[in-house]
Amino acid sequence: MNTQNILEDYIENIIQIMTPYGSGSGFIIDDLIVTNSHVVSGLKEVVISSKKEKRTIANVIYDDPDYDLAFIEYNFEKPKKQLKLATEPVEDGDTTIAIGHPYGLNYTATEGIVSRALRLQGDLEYIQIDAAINPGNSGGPLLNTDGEVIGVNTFIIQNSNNLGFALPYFYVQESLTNFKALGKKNIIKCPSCKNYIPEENIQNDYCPECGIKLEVAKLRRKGYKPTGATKLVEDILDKLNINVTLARRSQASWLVDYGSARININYYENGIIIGDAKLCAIPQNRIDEVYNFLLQENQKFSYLQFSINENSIYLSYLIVDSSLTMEKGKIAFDRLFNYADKFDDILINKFGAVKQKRDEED
Amino acid sequence: MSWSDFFNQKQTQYLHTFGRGIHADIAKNEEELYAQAYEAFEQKKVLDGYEYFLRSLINYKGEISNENIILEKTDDSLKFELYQGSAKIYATVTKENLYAEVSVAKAQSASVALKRYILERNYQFTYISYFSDGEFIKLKLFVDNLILSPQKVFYPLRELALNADFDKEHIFSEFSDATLADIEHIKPLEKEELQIKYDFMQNSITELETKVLTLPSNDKDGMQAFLYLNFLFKIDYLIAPNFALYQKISKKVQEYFLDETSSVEMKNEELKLYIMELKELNFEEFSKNFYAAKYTFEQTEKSSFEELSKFIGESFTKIKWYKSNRYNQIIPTIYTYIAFYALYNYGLNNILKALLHLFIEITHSKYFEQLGYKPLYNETTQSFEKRKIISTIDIIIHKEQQKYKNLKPFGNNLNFNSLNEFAYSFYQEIQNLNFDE
Repeated sequence: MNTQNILEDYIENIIQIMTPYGSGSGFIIDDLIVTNSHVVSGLKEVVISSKKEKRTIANVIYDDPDYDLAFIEYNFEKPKKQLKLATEPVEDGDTTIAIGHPYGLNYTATEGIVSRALRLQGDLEYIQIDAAINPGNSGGPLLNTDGEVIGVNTFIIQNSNNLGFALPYFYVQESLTNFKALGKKNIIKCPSCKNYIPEENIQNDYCPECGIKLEVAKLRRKGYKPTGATKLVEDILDKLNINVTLARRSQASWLVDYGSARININYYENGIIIGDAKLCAIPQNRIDEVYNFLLQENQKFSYLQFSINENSIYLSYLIVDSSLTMEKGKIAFDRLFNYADKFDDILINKFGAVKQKRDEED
Repeated sequence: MSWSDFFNQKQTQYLHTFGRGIHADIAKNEEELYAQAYEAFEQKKVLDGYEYFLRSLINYKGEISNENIILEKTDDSLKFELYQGSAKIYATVTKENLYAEVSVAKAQSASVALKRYILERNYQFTYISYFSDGEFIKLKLFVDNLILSPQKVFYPLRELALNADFDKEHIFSEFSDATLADIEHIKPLEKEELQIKYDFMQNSITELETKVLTLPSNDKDGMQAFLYLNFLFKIDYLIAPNFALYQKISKKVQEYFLDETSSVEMKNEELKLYIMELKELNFEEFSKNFYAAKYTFEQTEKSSFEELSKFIGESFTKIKWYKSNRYNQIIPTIYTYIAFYALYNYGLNNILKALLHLFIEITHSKYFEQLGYKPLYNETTQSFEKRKIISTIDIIIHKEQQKYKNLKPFGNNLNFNSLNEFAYSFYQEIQNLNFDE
């Protein structure tokens, strides 16, 4: 089977996983999503999406920092053609296919060759491949040419021909079997004594079996807690009935769909918060009229402004963090969302501007 | 300060515009005013804070204010006008907010290309935006006075001033149908001064062409680049053009340094073609590119002394290479290139700026003599006005010695045997300056 066919056959199994700290990949095996522990960043909740499923919040129910593995539960329909774990080991020179979302690009398949079937790193064996897998590939599946999962893409060594390393399928199988045998959710595997610890048995983040401090337990207990202006932005969005977890793209950026408009909010290191609503693209006719309209509307605004970038019309709102208050922010963001939706319609209906095409998985 | 310094002091005040700075002295109590603004803002005395802050931006020629900012304060508002080249900002501050605007062009005259340009500029700006009131295209700034500090006012106001000035010049050069608005404050230069500048540019082109012919047939790309870039930096600094001339020089320099795909040879060819365009420029066209104006903000971001020192060091290495390969003809150009490049690219402190300017005045004495300054070097006799040079350095250093206690005048350490030896010793002394406060 060629790479493109494999990607098309199994694409529904590939999951994009997003946290405030970054994004990675995962894949469905039976009733669970398998990914790396480092992709879920010690959080109990992450945002997932797939080719068929829109962004949704999902729970991390198993976290193993030792194997760098995590399992997430999902509540949508299983893919028609499901991925399966391989049963035979790979050999040097075998062709592999890494699937994931490198650099935020959705569903990319990267072909490579096994340069070392079993490479020892610490206590664990890894499959070493020459494919240039990238950060967004982390947690995604490494497949053989039959479309079987031979490993989980886990880390790369850059600047040395971009070597990629995948956790072999047998570790995944072992973890799935042991986890399911417990019949419980929210299990943390202790990296020291290797026991499977139900989270409810953990006190003060100590492993009840060996007494080591469990960093993952601490992170899961604390959760993601924004502070300062970041928290204020999220509180304002929450007050405007925006699901903040779904809107969050990183610790300092959010994406909100409102009516026909899509608004990106970014909090920059220099203390400036900018909400950019990318509206329609400029029309083919009556362009001068559109420009006049935008420039005249700009006269009425204090904080909002129209601009053009790469053929698209933007409505933006800027505020300095120290000037942001709940009251002011609520009014301003509410206005930005409503005006973005309203002006998008005006520009499309009155001037024939072109509605934006959107990748729904974004 | 000695008596000779006292008499010389007048001559350090330049009557002409050189380079892209504010061409003036900053307020003597600038730091104090800035601190007072900070304190007033902390105490929520908004109008007082603005007043102190704006006064810290007023610049001077000697003891006389340039009136680059004109303030008018009442009990509940502060109005001010701020000048930045072709841009004049009108602003009103109340306890709640600051609103400032600049009239850029007449709305009726704006083509679709100009409107597209300004709407795209809106996307690039941080604090400011273009709008139209039907009559004019204006650039505006709105600042909420909820929580203020001088920095929080400085950056938005600077963005407005620099971009309004830049865009007015750009619009004038690029969109021929457009009519600029509110430019009555910029003044034309005297014809005599324009003629000196024109002749200087044409003579420099002739000299440049002659020098290019002295280069070897191979291995010359680097040297040619030095000659062409030095010429453009020189024109920009010494004749300080505006409008199309300024915009095109900036564009050519920017393209040269940002283009990573073309060979040096190809990039040189581009510069040569532009210089040939300048050669063809007649006096009348040339004269349209100049005006006198007041400035409030420096264009370049502040650079450290270390950056300049490193650049001088790197240039010395290049000089050494050319010397050992017997390409001596390029060495004087590299020495002047150091000063022109640094003044063009780095936001230097006043001492370094003044010292580099002095170096340029010495190496371009003929031009300065035509402008009415006493020449500091005689090309025919190859002799220096040694006493004048030493005393000018003394004045430059003394001015800021209270702030930089370890700064020492170095005129007596300079080597006046030849222009090259002088240049080397001058830059070495600059590298040795101690700016510890």
